[in-house]
Amino acid sequence: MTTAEVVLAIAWLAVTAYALFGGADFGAGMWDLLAGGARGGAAQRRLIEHVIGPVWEANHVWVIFVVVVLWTGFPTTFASVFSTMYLPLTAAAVGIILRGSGFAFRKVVDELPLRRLFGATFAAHP
Amino acid sequence: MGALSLVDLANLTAARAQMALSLGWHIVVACFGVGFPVLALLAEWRWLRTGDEAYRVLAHRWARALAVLFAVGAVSGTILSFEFGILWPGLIGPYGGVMGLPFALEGFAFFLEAIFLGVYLYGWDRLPPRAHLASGVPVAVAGFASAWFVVTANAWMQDPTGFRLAGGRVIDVDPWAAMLNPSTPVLTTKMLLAAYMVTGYGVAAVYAWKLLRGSRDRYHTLAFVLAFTFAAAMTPAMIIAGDWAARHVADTQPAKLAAMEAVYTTQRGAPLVIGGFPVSGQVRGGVEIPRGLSLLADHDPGSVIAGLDQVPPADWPNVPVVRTAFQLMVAIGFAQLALAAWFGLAWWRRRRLPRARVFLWGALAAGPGAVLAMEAGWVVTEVGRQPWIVYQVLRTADAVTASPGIGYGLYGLIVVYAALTAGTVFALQRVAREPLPEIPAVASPDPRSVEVAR
Repeated sequence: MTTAEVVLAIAWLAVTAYALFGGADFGAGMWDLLAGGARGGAAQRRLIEHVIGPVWEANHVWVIFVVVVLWTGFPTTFASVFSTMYLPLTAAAVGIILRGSGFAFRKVVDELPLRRLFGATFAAHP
Repeated sequence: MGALSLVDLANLTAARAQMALSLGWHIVVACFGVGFPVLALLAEWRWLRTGDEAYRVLAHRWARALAVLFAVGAVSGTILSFEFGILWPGLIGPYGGVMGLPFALEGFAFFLEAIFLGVYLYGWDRLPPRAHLASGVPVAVAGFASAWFVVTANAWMQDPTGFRLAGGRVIDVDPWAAMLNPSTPVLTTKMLLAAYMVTGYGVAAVYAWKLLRGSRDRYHTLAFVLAFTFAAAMTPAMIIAGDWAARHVADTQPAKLAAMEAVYTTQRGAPLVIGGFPVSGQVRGGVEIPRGLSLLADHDPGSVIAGLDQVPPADWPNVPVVRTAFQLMVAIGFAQLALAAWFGLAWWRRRRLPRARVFLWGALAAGPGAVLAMEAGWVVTEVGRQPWIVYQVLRTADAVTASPGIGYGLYGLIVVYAALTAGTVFALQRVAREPLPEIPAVASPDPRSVEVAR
């Protein structure tokens, strides 16, 4: 295997890991959104928060890892792809901000309207 | 390169503004991500040593605040990794392979940090106390490591090594040499000290406010003393590192030093001008110390200091911005040193906080002051490097994207960061306002324990 193929294999494994672990969290976000009314769904939402809380941050490091491996391994391609696809990537970046911060903020509030607001930003991801 | 088109110029301004906003925001939160684990671990370690319940409550609360800041720092950091590619293809394309290694290593450090933070935050009731303390150590170590790795990449932009240019192509790439460039030791030292000072003074400011408002119980006093001592201990080291950094800049980036000190003409035995504002080629209203600059920069009162006249005007950094930021940073640093010395003297002689209320007002100001000084130092380093993105190798204007409409991204991000700031402040206030549990009096008073200031 050439160096390029090794790097590509690492990036591929990391993308797969992100799809699996991050994907589970994305699924949790959708579940959270559709868990039912504020009262009925509260127990499920607490459970979701409790389950993904400890692993949440680590699951999302995979995306950073993929980005830096691609830019170190294939800088020219990375630069062309990112500067060309800046609209969808900016949208994804905004989604990442809303999700990650919404999840963190919701943990510290108790009032229903605020939990709704942060819950909505947590579920929102393009 | 030829003259810039209007689109390029608009892109350059918008892209630089966007980077300044994203980095300037992230750097504050990241400082707490690096420093807060150390503070929380110190409190927890004191709890295990003394059995004083107040320390356990403190460690627990600080960990809650850290969880918010870490989550927010993780997202603002992810955005940055996107922005490098979106906004600066001219940097990442040719040089991504040269400067990418520390970012990849930072990824590993970040994994370690995130995994153990999960254990630390959720393990309070599941792990024996000593194991819980130990689970926090990798968080602090990995925080230190990730800051170190990221700053080596910035150091490389100041002091590019580890490659050769042949006919416009980048060859003989050695990422390790790039990472361990000559500016790495000084810049990483300054950034890590700054992170610990921002955390220490920032946290101490919160408790200074509580003490000023009359909450002078043991819990608030202990919290203040622990955070302030941590920051105060870093302060003299920062002054020494600052001297090291200035002499390093004098050697490696004379144009930056000339901008920091507003030296327009090359001179032997250059004076140090304190205060004032640079207007059309001279500093107005400053206090002049003869030969001071030569003495500081080269430890020789007769040395020659290169002025901006040695640099083509097109390659000048923005002198008023760099100079003002530098003066601000130095002024705040020395004010903090004075405050730290006052605290140290009072503690050494009477084992108590200084009596004067003005000390607490000073400590309150030192929190935002530390953030301001850190941002000012970053402005000196980055604006002082302009017009180069990679010093004397690649111009910032040649690295920016040519895609249209970058300005809209900037407007969008301003809104997003404003919301993120509001959310973060709100969440931290919530953590701070959670009612304190009952803290029992210490069973066997530690002779070194804090005497409450009155």
